[in-house]
Amino acid sequence: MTSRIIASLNRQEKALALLAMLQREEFTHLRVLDPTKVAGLEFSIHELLRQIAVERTELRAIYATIVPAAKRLSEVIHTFSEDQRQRAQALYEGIDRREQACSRQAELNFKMALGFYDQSRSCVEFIQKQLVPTRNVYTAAGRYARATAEPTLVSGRM
Amino acid sequence: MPGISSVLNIAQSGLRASQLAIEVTGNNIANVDTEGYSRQVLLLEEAMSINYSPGQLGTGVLATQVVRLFDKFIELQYLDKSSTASSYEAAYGALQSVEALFNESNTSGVSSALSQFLSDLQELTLSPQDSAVRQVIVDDAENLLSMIGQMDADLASIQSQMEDYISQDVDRINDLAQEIADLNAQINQNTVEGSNNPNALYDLRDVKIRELASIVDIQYIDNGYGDITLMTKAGHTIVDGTSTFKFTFEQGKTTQQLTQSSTFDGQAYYDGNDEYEYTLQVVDAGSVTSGAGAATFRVSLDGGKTWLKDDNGDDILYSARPEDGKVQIGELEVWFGSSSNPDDPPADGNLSAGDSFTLVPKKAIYWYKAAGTAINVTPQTYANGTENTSRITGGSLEGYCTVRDVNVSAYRDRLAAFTESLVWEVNSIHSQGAGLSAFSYAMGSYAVADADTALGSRSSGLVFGDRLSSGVSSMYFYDAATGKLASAASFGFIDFDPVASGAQPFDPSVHSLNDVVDAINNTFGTFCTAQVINGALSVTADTGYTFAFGEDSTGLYAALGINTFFTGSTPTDAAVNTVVANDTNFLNAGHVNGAGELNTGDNTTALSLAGLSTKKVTISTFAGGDTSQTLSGYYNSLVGLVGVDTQNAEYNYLYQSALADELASRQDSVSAVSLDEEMSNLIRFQQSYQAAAKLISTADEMFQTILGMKS
Repeated sequence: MTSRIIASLNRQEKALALLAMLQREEFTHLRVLDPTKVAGLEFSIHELLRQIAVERTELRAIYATIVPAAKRLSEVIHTFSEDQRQRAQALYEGIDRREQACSRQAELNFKMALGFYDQSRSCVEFIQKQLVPTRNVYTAAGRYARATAEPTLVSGRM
Repeated sequence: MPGISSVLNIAQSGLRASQLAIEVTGNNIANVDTEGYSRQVLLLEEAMSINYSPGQLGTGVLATQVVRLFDKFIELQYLDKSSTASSYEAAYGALQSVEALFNESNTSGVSSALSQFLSDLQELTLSPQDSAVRQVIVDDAENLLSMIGQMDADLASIQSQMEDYISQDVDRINDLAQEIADLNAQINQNTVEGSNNPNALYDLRDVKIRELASIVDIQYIDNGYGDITLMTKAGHTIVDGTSTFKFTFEQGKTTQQLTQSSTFDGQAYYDGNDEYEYTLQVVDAGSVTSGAGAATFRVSLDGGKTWLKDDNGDDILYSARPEDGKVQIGELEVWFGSSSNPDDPPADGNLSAGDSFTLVPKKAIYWYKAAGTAINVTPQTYANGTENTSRITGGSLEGYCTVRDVNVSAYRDRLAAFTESLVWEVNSIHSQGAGLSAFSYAMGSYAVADADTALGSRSSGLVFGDRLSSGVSSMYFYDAATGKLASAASFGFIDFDPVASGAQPFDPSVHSLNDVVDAINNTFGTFCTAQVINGALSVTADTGYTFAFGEDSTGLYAALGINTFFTGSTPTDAAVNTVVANDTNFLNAGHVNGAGELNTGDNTTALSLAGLSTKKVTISTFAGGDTSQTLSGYYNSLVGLVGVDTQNAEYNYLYQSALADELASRQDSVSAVSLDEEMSNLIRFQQSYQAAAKLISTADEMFQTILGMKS
C-alpha cells in the first residue's frame, strides 16, 4: 500500500512538472499571438488537470484503506518506514513547490491574456465610439434621431 | 463638345491614371522591406461631366492624390505601450548585469566569504590562543571586506553606466526634437490639402516619433497641416510645430520654496551625494545657529510624501545649523549658508515654519521652459512604489533612472547597512574583550567634527553616534613589568562627574569627546593621559603601565574605534583595524575577568563573536525599513531581492512588449505592403492601361474611317 502511495505521489510530481512545461509553452504562444496553438495547449492542460484530479481521488481512497478517516499524507505517514517516510515527504514537498510554480505561471498567463483582451476591447470601444454620431442627424425616415441622450428642458417640434 | 477627340481625351486620362497607379504600386513593391514605410494608394475621381443629349457624358478620370494608409489611433496606442515596454526592457537589461554580480553559483562571493569568517570565529572559540587561527581570521575578514567593497564598486559602476545611457538618451531626445521640428516645417511647405501629401515625410516623422516614444513617454497632439505638438505625459513640451524645448542631464540643483511671510535670505547646502532627492521642510521657526533657538526641520526622501521617522514613529527633527555645525542626514551633511557663499552665514537666517528646500545630490534630468527656468523631470518613485506623475514616467529614460535611483541604489543602501551592522556588531563585542597583550597606547579610529558637541548629537560627525546609549565603560591598568593590576584603584568605570559620589555614567546626549577625555583623565589620570587628536580619542599609558578595556554598556569604545576589530563603516572604507592586522595578539578572544586578569586560554569574547552567526540584528534602510535578521540572512535576502526585481522586470518587459507587438502588427495590417495584393493590383492596373490604349486605337480607327470617306 505504501509503495502505491509513493508511486502516486511520484506520478503527481511528474504530472505537475509537465503542467509547468505546458504552461510555459502556452505563455510563449500567447506572447506571439498564436491563438490556435494556445487553444490546443489548453486542451492538453485541461486533460492533464483531470488526470491529476483522478490520481488524487484514488490516492485518498488508498489513505482511507490505511486509516479510514485519513485524507492527507500527514495522517497516514506514521505507518511508513523511515526510508519511505523520507521519500514520501520529499515527494510531497516537491509537489507543493511545483504546484506553487504552476500557480504563479498560471497567473502570468492569465495576466497576459487579459492584457490582450483589454487592448482589443479598447480598440473596439474606440471604433464603436466613432460610429455613434456626435451631432443630430437625419434618419432614413427623415426625422431627427437623438444622437446623444443629454437631458434637455424642451424637446420635439415647436 | 463630345466627339471622337473627346474619346481620345478620355482614353488619355485613363492611360495617365493607370500609369500613375502602376507607379504607386511599383513604389509600394520597391519599399516592401523599408522600415517605417506606409503603403500608398492613388485616389481616383470621376472627371466632370458635360450636359449633352442624350444626357450628361463623362470626360474620363482624375488622379487626385496619393495617400498613405496609416491608422493614427493604433499608432497612439502603440506609442504608449512602446514607452512602457522600453522602460522595462532597459531595466531588465541592466538588472541582468546586477543579478550576475550576486550570482555565486560558479564563483565565491560575499555570502561564502561571510560564512567563512563566521566559521573562523567558531574556530577561535576552540583555539583562542592559536596565532595561526588568529591570522586566518584577519585574512578572511580582509577577504570579506574586499568582496563587499568590490560588490559595491561594481554596483556603482552599473549606476555610472546608467548615467552614460541617460546622457545619450537625453542628447537623442534633443536631436529627435530638432529633426521632428524640421520635418514639421517641410511637411508644412509641401502639404496642399486634398492634392499634395508629403507621404515620405510623414513616414519619416512617424519613425522618429516611434524612436522618441521608446526613450520617453509622449503625448501626441495633431494641430493639422503637418503641425504636431509632442509633450511628455506630464506636459513638458518636446516639440511644438517648428519649435523645440531642451532637456539636459546635469548636476542636481538646490531649490527653495519659502512661505509668503518668510524673511529667510540664504540657501541650504550639502556635502556628499545620494540617489534620493532630499526635501527639507521647516517645522519649528527659528534661526540658523549652532546654539539654542535653531529652527528645526524634517526630511523626506520621496518629495514630501513620507518623512524620516525615529524608532517611535515620530518625524525626525533636525536643527538648522551653519557650516561649522553640519548635520548628518542619510548620506549628506547639510547646513545653511548665504546665497552666494556656503561658508558664510545667511544674510537673514530666520526660517519660518513651512519653508522648504529640495536638494538633488545627483545628476538629474531637467527640462528648460522657454523662459529658461529649469524643471526637474527625473523619474521619481515614492516610498509606496508609485510614480511621481509630474515627471518622466516612461521610455528607456525611466528604466535607466529607476535602475540607478531605485534598484541599484536600494541594493547599495542594503549592502552599506549590512557592512555597517557587521562592523558595529563585531566591534561592540570585540571592544569589550581582551587579547593576549595589553595596550600601552590606543588610538580611536572614528573622529568627531567638533570635540565639544555631544557625541549622540547629529552634528557630532561621529559615524556610530546614533548607536550610543547611556551606561558605563570600564578600563583596567596594569603594572607593565609584572602584568598585575597596578593598584586597588587602577580599574573600574570611567567617572563622568568626579564631584558626585560613585562613578557617574556616560550620557550620549550630554557628553562630548572632550568630556570623555576629561572623564578618563579624572578617573585614571595616575596611569594614563587621554587627549583628542584629529578629532579622535587617544589614550597613552604613563610610563610603567599598560591597560585593557572591559565591559562597556554604552558602545562608547566601539563608536570611538578604540579596541575594535574593524575600522570604517562603509563598503568603501571598512577595513581590519591595523592594530589587529599588524599584531594578532590584539585580536580579542578573551576578556578581563572578575579579578582584573587577562587569561590566554579565555574564549569568552570569541564565543560572543561566534554567536553572531545566529544572532538577529536590527538593520534599517529607507527602502527596506527595519528588519531583524542574522547577518547571513540579511545578505541572502538582498540576493533574493535582486532575483525578484530581475524576474519582475523580465515579466513586465515580456508582457508590455507583447502588447506593443500586437499593436504594431495591427498597424502593419493597415500600412504594411503585401506583395500578393500589390501584384494583383499591378495586373489590374496593367489591364486598365491596356484597355485605355485600346480605346485610343479605336478612336484612331474611327478617325481613319472618317478620313477614308473623302475618297
